[in-house]
Amino acid sequence: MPIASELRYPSVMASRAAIDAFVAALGAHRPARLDELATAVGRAWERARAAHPALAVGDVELMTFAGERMRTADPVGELERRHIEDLYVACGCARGDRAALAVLETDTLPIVARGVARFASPDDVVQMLREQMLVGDEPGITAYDGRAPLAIWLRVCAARIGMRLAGRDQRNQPIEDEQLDQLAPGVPDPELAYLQQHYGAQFRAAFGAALASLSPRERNLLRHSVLDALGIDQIAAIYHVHRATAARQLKQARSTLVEATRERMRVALGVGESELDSIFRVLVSMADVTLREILGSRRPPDPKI
Amino acid sequence: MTACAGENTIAALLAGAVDADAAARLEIHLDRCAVCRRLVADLGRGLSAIDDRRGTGPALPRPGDTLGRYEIRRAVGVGGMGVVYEAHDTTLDRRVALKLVRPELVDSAHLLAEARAMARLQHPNIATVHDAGTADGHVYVCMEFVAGTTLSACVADRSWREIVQLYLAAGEGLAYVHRAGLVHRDFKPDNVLVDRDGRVRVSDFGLARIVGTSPRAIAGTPAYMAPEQRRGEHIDARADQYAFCVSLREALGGAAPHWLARTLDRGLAPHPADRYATMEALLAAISRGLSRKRRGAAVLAVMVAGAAALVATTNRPATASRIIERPGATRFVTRDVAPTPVAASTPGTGSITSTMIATTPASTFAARMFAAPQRVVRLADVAPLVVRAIAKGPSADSSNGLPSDGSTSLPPPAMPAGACDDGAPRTCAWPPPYCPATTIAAIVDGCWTCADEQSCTPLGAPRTCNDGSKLRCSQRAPTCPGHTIPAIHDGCWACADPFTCPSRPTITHTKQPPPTGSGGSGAARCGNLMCEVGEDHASCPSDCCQLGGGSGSGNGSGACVATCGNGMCEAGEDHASCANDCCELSANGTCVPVCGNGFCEQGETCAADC
Repeated sequence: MPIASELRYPSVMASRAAIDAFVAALGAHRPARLDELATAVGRAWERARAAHPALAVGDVELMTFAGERMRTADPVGELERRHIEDLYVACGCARGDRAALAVLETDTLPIVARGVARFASPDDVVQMLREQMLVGDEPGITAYDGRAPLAIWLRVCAARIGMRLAGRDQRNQPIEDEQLDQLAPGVPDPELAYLQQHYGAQFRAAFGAALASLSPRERNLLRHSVLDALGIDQIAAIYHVHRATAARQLKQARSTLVEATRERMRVALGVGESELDSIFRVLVSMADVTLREILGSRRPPDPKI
Repeated sequence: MTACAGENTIAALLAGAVDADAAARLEIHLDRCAVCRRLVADLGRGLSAIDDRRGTGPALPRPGDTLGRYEIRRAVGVGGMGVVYEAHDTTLDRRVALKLVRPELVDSAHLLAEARAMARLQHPNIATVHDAGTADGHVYVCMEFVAGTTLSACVADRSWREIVQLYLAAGEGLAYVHRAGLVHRDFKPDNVLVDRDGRVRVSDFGLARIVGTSPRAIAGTPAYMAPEQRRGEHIDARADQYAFCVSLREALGGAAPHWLARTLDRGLAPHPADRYATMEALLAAISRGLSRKRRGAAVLAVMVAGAAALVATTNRPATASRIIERPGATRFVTRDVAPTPVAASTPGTGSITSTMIATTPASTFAARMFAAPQRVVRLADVAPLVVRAIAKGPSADSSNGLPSDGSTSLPPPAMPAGACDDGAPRTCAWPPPYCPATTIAAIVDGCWTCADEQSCTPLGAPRTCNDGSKLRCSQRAPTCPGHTIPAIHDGCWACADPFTCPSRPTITHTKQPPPTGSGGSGAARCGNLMCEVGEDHASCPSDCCQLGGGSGSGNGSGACVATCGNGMCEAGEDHASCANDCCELSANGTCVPVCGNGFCEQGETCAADC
């Protein structure tokens, strides 16, 4: 028989109204087991309060805010996984809570500001971020869903603003057509020039087709490496993998690309292995330039998201 | 949102919290959308600066946590190498800056050895290193806490001469360290602290070097790096000289006089051998030029004054300087520059000034602000600094305020007679005052003041606005067209023309006398968000941090009590009761205000804050 001391209750209990608010906000995603949910709501509220005791935002408000963002198959699990402390701040900011705004200002925005420091006018970026996030009938901060820490989410939004300010953000623009001109290879080597002249077109066609046969992930890896000039560490950081893994994946993508190109050229040219080898060796030496051009100019297939 | 990938998904990817499905969808999108992919790449480049509390390694401490003998107060900055906290050294009972270096970036034994070397350095222009060590998985360096700001933030409104003086002081610190045989390796304006007395201290000595021994690290800041440092070659003190010159040139923008530009060019020579041999030599060259030019400038100033306050704008690049940088604020102020030519006149002097033309494209805000082409404005509105600095001399005559070049100025708005509290004429003189968090610049009877954004506090009792909205400002500032900005005008939201003050809405209200406050060297001011101990709650409801006599609000004694942890520095507050908030202790144990903390304290005369 359990004794009271063995039962674990959240030290800050969420009110009945908060649980109801959470369930109501979930709409059609109302979970079957409400007992687990009650515990999860209590724990989430405890976490939120412990992190930000100064906020004058109640559990009902927070749970409504959270529930609206957790309309998934597993809202209880989501409540545990999401950054409820940050959702609490976001909820407070959206409601104009002074303490929440202060937390945002002193804890979060300095991190964001640091992240946009490389833009030409970081102050403008942060100020526009504030405007976008906090002002208006539906302040932008209500779009935050708690899957990532608020600081990171704001950094993404800030980077978008920064890129837009820098005039680079035409959403969904064709992929880097502008790269074509500036990267036209001026190759002094006569042998390479000859091969390029005779086989360049086939090589490009084969290369393009091979590229299209890669997975989106592989293409993105190559782009990050070649076009965005990211190092292995940075790629590893983006994908949250060890740098050795990132390096291996990148190498794999490259060799898949080269092999597929090779295979396609062999078919297209109908030449023997040894001849192809010598052609290929030379052509592949300019593969980085070609990769850059083709990655930068081709719209890959599979247009559906 | 458009078809672009949501910020939430990208953020989740970067935080390692994206599920496989969403990750696959994101990959497909990034494959097609170069903008989003570049965004991810861009973020990837700066990933080290992100404080990922759920990332690998020990969790970063929160305010209130202790780390060894240090009690964390608040994070004051985040850098590529780690996070800097304001902390309290519980053993020696003093305020310190605690820099937590990301453990994966350092060899901690090496760091400790370096810190010992750094701790031996003592100079008025360098920030002293007290201690270094490891605790709870963190590697930290404990440094002197400097209450103030960084050099980069400090130069905004200063003349080139003042900027050069600040840099000369920083240069002295660098020279001292060079004499001790060390190289800074990451000199930049963000690493130079300026305290409230204007004393300049270079900080973060040598950290870049320690960190630089790890392959993961980015040692130094690329924008300020000398070419040889960028190439990863061996560097010496002359790389610091290069970084110093980059910083100074950046701070001066185009305002550097010719001789100074030449001096800096030498410090910026691509080959170290072509630079000055030492920092001292560079500093001496700058000082020489400065003293030579000062004599010339004095003569020029007399000539300018004699010509009745002719004002030439500076050549500094356009900087949109924030007057209000707080949540909910939507106003922007651009100083000393406009993207389109602006003819300006000073009504006070009746003289004509020159045309102001931006030397570089101004920010988008500046563009908005000065949207009307060839707009004629009063100089006092657009360039108060210039006016104050240069037109001090003969305030001259008088008259009509019309420019003599034939352009017509806007008629001055009708204003109540008399002057504002601070002696400024009732003209909505631009710029508005700096207002602390969640307050907003408001125009009240033709004078700028800070008002609580949501309750219009300085106006006393609530009233009815002419748009029917009741009692207080509506929740949020309105969206204002064109170059106008939201302002609270007589208790109601209005769109204010920053140059002419808003046309006054007709308001039905009974005006209450301004509340009288208690304590402090000045009268309590509602709306300044300071929690005044003992203040009557009814008079300043929005400012009260906590009501006395009971939990919650609304009952009890009705007087405000001090609340610790609100981050406000209350002058005269007892330090023991609110240790966290106190900005600086006086000899008798009470808090004294500190300039540069961004808060305007009652009775304080602190040009930077108030």
